[in-house]
Amino acid sequence: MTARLVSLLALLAAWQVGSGIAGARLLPAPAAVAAALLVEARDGALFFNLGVTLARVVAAFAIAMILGSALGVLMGRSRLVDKLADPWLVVLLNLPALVIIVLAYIWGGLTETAAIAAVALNKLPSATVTLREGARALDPQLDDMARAFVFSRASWLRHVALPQLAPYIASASRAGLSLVWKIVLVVELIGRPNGVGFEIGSAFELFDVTRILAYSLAFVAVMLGVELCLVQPFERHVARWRPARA
Amino acid sequence: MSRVGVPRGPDTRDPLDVRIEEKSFQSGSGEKFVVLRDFSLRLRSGEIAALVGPSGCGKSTLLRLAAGLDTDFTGEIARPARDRLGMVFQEPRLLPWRSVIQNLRVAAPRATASALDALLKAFHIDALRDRYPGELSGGQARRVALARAFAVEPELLLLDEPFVSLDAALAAALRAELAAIVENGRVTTLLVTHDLDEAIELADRLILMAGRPARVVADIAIAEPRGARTSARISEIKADALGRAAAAAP
Repeated sequence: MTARLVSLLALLAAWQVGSGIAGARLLPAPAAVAAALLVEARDGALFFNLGVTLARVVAAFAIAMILGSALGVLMGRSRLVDKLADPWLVVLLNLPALVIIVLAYIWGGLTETAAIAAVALNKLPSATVTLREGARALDPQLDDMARAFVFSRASWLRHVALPQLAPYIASASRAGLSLVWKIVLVVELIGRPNGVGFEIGSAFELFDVTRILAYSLAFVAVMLGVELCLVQPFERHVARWRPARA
Repeated sequence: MSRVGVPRGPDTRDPLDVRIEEKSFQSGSGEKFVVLRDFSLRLRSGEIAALVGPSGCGKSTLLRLAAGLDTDFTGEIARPARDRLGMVFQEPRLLPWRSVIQNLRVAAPRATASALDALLKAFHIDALRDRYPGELSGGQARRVALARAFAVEPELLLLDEPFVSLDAALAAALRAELAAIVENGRVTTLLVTHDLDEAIELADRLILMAGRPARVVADIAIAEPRGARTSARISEIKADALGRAAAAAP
């Protein structure tokens, strides 16, 4: 813990020194960024924009994870589905995020739906690939056991499949969250009238580095909170049956 | 075409009635191996039968067919309703992320709490009810697997080499406990084993399998109740079984 703290303080110190060398216009000092944060927080703009962006992240993430996981499990369990869906997956995986965003806005208009769909579509294929690996690794012996004891489909999912898929879901979530929030900012920059991405875009036009840093740091803090308060406890919860490692 | 899980009519009261025309496997190179052909086996209610044979003779295949885990065969198999089938595999196959009591509950959702408690006591695992399978010894995990099979109040119990890879003393102790519990409940049981001693200790009918495709080379009923088998009688049964198996060998 102390090592982390020292490392964080070193980062702040380097920032301070860098600001002295580059000048406050190119790299404002930490105190200036903190002051800008306070101003944005006081008139409520900060929390509104953070909230709007977070809502988009949650919506796009949920859609991508649920649809992506379901497709991944189907592909991992059925050779036919795998063969049918694989080419689509490869195309989607290799389509640049920007292309998906631009096309979504052209076909769907500059709407909330188009924005969230574009982000979800960017994340979906990687969730599918991860969960497909997970479904392929499901223990056939436990499946036999579940069939011998006539587990219901719901019971199989809850007691046999999901515990085995949990590490894959956690890994897809972690990679997904960081990917989704970065893409949400781009989507907001291009076609939304609010949110952290929009604010950073307007700050860029004014060359306001202080506000750019203030908003990005605030949002990094929010995502760090999500990681610490949701992702890590989930991982600990699903791993509770594992014998403690030495 | 396979006809599986045929509902039992009034004339077939037997808990297990297997009539297999053919069961084969395809090898990687596309060759067909016939494991069972014109094989039939019928267990009467309350009967405890042991299928004995060398490994690879098709015993486990037969057990999987009987359990309905493999439906790729031609013939007919009549068995009890699917949720009244208790099965013990060669490995415990517990859910590692569920505690002992949860493993029983998930497999037997209709069992009452007191029935499960009684089972835990009967198999001497009541102190382990909240442990996870990773925290159990090999013998303890077998006990849980046995308790799980009994938790569904089975009309038919299928045991696939349930004591393999345990040390001899532990296997003997578990075998004696299982014999007592099976004796009490008179559950119709089909035990698969390569160990003739184990078969004679647990079963009252020995079915010896050999050959490829496998056939029954001997079907021996043991009249004496389990407790009353003297060591002389046991060696006599064993000699008889080995003799018939040898006579059938090509």
